[in-house]
Order: sequence, then structure tokens, then C-alpha cells
Amino acid sequence: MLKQNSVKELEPSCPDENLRPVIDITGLSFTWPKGLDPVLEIEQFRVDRGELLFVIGPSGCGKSTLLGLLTGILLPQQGVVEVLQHKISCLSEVARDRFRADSIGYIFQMFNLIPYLSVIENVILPCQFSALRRERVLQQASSLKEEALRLLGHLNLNDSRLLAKPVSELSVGQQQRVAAARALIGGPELIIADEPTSSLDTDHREAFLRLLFEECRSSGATLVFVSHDRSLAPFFDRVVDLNVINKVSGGGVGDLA
Amino acid sequence: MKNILLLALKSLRNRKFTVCLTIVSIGLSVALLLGVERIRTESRNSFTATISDIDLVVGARSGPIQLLLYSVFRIGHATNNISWESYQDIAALPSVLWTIPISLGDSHRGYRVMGTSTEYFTRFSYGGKQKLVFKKGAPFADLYDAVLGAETAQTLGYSIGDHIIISHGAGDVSFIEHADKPFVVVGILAPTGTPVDQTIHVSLEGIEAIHVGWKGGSSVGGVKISADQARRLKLTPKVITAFLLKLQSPIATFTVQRTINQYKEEPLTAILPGVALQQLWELVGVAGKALIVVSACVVVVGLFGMLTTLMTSLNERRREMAILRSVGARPVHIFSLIIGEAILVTVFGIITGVVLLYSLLIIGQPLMVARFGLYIHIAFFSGAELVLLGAVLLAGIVAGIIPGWKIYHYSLNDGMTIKT
Repeated sequence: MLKQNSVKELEPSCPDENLRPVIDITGLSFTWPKGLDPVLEIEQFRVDRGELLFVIGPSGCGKSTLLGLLTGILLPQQGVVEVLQHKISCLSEVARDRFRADSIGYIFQMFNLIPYLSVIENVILPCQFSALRRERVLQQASSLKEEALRLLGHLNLNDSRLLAKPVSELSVGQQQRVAAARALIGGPELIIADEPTSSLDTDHREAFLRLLFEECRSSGATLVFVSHDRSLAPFFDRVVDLNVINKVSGGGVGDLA
Repeated sequence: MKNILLLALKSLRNRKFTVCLTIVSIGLSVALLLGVERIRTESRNSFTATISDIDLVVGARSGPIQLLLYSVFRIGHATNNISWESYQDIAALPSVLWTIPISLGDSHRGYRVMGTSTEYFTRFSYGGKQKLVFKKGAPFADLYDAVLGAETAQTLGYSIGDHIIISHGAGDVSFIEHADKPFVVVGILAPTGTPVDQTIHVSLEGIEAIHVGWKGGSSVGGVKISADQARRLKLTPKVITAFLLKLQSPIATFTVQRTINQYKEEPLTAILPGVALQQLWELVGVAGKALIVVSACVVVVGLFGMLTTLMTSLNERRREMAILRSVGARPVHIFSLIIGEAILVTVFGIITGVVLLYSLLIIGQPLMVARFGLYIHIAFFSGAELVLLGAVLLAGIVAGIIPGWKIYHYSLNDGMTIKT
């Protein structure tokens, strides 16, 4: 599963890569296989490299559909989704899975961790599926564990007693920070966070965001942070309202939030 | 794939209790399957080697199985006897190395009494090249001496020096007894796992002596000859039931067989014991086959247990699958994870079963020899056993495909959305 050629494949061909957007969506339209009407229609959506973007959207406005499209789980019927200079539709299913493994760090709303793996094992999990991320880690650190400990340390999780605990015994905030360390390991270019703070209280929310921003900045990663919680908007470089960019806003459910 | 297998291992470790139970149930069923197979093989080997190192068994004209049954297994009755003259005649053929005469027809408390020569104890062999061994005492020397098979001695509780009275006829309960001529137990044989264990051996002359003055199955009225008087008579037998025959060279087997089958003086049948035993096993071995089928079903039940454990855990594991997908696992990895778990559980089950089997064999081997005379070799797996183990593993993989296929479709449809 760890193919070496994945490294080459993902090297951007364009010389001025820093100027090109990380996400570039044009003329997108997505309809669920059994649905009649499109749930997501986006004319233009761009995210630049290194941006810390807040995508605001209540549940039901096509948020998870957008994330599915960005991560290559879903394919649009119309339009182009380009992530890191890869046209997602042009990649095979295997290539999309490999692309996701190599380039995207993902944080879920909650219960991010595999219950039967230790904290460290959870953090280094992406390196089991991506040779690229594994190599990147080993260029800087002597072992995967060392890098995992470094990242966890940055996220204020360096108590050895804490690390020895089963992941199910960690607090929600701690679990989310472990998930962040996992998303960051091996320096993926794009971090996608799907409501990662909704299960945290206000104090922890801000602390978590600050740590996440710091790590994204230091690794040069682009962050796409999706949430329905408007109070978080001021922390970000840029805010995009999904209800605004999605021309299909007849869902109705969205207006309740 | 190594990573996935490691992941599967850790996932199983997380569910230690149920997984251990599943492994134990598969292990027990595997031990049962292998145990039955091994006992079946050993009993076939022991059965087909009930007598060995014999070229022909000769009796009165009858079918080969019948001749084998009464001469070797002491089951049923001879259709007719062989005259002493015919026996001497054939024994004197130049190609004959030695013969052992057998005279049946009497019993003691349900155990058959067999008249034979002392050569029986030196020449007779079973199970390959094993000779008869005396556990106690020695071969019969006196006219009224008897040597007991292991089971006879144990069941009836006889030891050296005990007196036994032989009954006329082969029934369990006989009313006609040779009460005037009791025999003394002088030897007890070690268990052999053959009908020898259930036999009482006396000399041909002894058989003759108890029948002096008898005619056609009952004593001729009035004439009483005491045990001591009988000693003074000429006790050459007039008839025997059958005899075992060993040739100078086995090449002559078919020639001698034909000679005997076409013997002019008397209608006789000579059979090759190996061939007849094989034929008889075809009949008897059905029970063993049935047992194998039953134990295979038990293995299937064990694997169903594993399937149930895997299936019930699937729904609660959809979240885990979504997380794995998010870090780059492909649906085929998810499939491999579940299949990997099934394979690991099956392999651990097989290992448990094998360890269990060998422990039982080591403990049970002396017991089996002592009780049943069945020697079970503690050897590496036979080809058939390896095939069985391979079949168990394959069935385990097949059982894993079902939840694997299901989770594969879950992960294709769910993608990274968490559905719990």
C-alpha cells in the first residue's frame, strides 16, 4: 500500500506553486445519486496557500458534501474541483485515496481516535498509509514516535502518564488535540477540520484554535475549518459563508441555525 | 499489508474477552477434528495390521470376509473344519516356511478359547512387526495350561495360578461345561489392540483332551474319562478350524493360494489377510467417516461463532472505519482489516487446537495403550490432517469475507461521514 511513486505524483508541476490556490472550485454542481436536485452548486471557490479559512454553515447546507468533494470521497457531476493542483475527477479511486493520505489531515467533530491504539499510535497512523508523510517525518526526526511526541508537546500533551492512558480515558479536549497532532504529522498541505471544537467549552475552544493555528503556520499548511459557530469567525484570516457561495439554498434547514 | 495485520491484532487485543472465547471454541473444535482423524487413522492402521507377517489364512471353503471374521476376529463360526491330514499336507509344501494351527469352538464366560501351538507366541505378529509380549507368566507348557489375552484377564480378574473351566460352544452363556478338566492360567499377554486381547489360548492337545469321549457337540453318555486319564491318551487333533501360513518367499503367495483353493482332498479357502482386512475396513470404517463429518460440523459451528462476533461488532465499528478512511485507508484496507481479524482468530484457534490435541495425546497415550491397546503415534501432521487444517483456515477466511464485504460497502458509502 505504500507506493514510492506517490511522492513524485504529487509534486506540483507548476514552478510558481506558492501562488496557485490550494483549492480551486469552478462551476461545481453535485447531486446525490438518488436525489433529483443538486445539493451543492458553487460558481467559484478558492483557497490560497497558507490561508486559515473559516467556512461557516449550519448543518444541512451541504457542508459534509463539500468536505466529501474536497477529500475525493465524492465526485461532482459538473464543474472542476482542483485540490493542490489535482483535478479530483481525473484521479482514479486508488489515486484519490492515496492523495488524501498524502496531502490531507482531517479532524472530526469528536471521537477522532481509534480506541484500540495508544495515543502515539493514533498520531502516527497516517504514516502507515502515506509513504510521503512518513518520509517527511523521518527527514526531520529520527523516528515517527519522536515526531509524534514533538507535536503532542506543542499541543501541551507531554505528560508521560497521560500518553500511557487508553485513548478512551482522555478528556474530549485532549482527544481533539491528539487528533490535531495526527492531522499535522508528516506535514500535509491541507488540514480540514469538521466542527472540531463543537464538543469543547469556550476556554478550551480558544486554546485549541490557537494551538492549531500555530502548528498550521509553522508547517505552512492551509486550514479549512468548518463550523456553524459564528463566534469563532474573528480568529480566522478569512470567513466564507457556505450559504452564500452555495447557490442551492432552498434546504430550509440551514436557516434555523 | 503488514500494517493492516498489526492493526487487526491490536483491534482483537482490545476485545480480549470475546475474542478469546471465540478462539477457544474454534480451538476445541479443531482439537476434536484432529483427534477424531488421528484416532481413525490409528485404528485403521491397527485394524488392517491385526495380523501381519502372514501370507495366507486357510480355512474350510467360505467367503474371505467370513474366514477372516472367525479365524482372526473370533466372530461367527466356521462353516466347517479342516482335517488334520490336509493341514499336515499343506504345511509340508516346500514353499511353506511355517504354519500356526487354530482350533476354535469353545469359550469361557463369553471369551473365545483358541487352541494353537506354542509357535503362536513366537511367530504371531501384529501392527507391523510387533510380537506378542507376556505381561506375566509364560506360554502354556502343560496340557491344562492357559494363556489369557490382556482384556480377558483384566475383565474377568484372573491372575496367574487361577483355575478356569471351559464351556462347550461359543455362546456367552453355555450350559455344557468341561468342568472335569479345569485349566490353570500360566500366562497373561500385554495388550495388543487386536482380538488376541479377548482370547484364551490353550494347546491343541488341551482342546483335544476336553473333547475326549465327546461326539457331535455333546458328551457320549456313560463314558467318563478323567483329566489324568486323558493325559495318557494319544491327543493328536483330528480337525482344526483354520491355520495361518507363512511362505519362504511372498512371491509364491498366489501359487500356493491357488494350490490350496484347488485342493482335491477337501474344499479349502486361502485368503490374503491384508486384502481381506482392507475390505472389512471398508465396512467398519463408515463409523469413523461419520465421526469426521460430525466433527467438521462442530468446526463450522465454531466458525459461525466467529462470524457472529465479527458481524455484531461491525455497526459500532463504522466510526473506526471512517477514521481510517480519513487517514488514507482505502476500502480494500478496511476489507483486509476485517479479513485479517478473521484469519488471525482462525489461526489462533488452530494453534490452540493443535496445542490442546498434543497435550491430550501426551497425557492420553499411555492410557490408550493400557485400556484399548491402541498406540497413537505422537507424530507431525499427516497429509490428511494438513488438508483438514487448511480447510479450517479456508473456511475461516470465507467466514471473514462476509463481514469484510459488508464493511467494504459501508466504507464505500459512508466515506468519511460518521454514521453512528
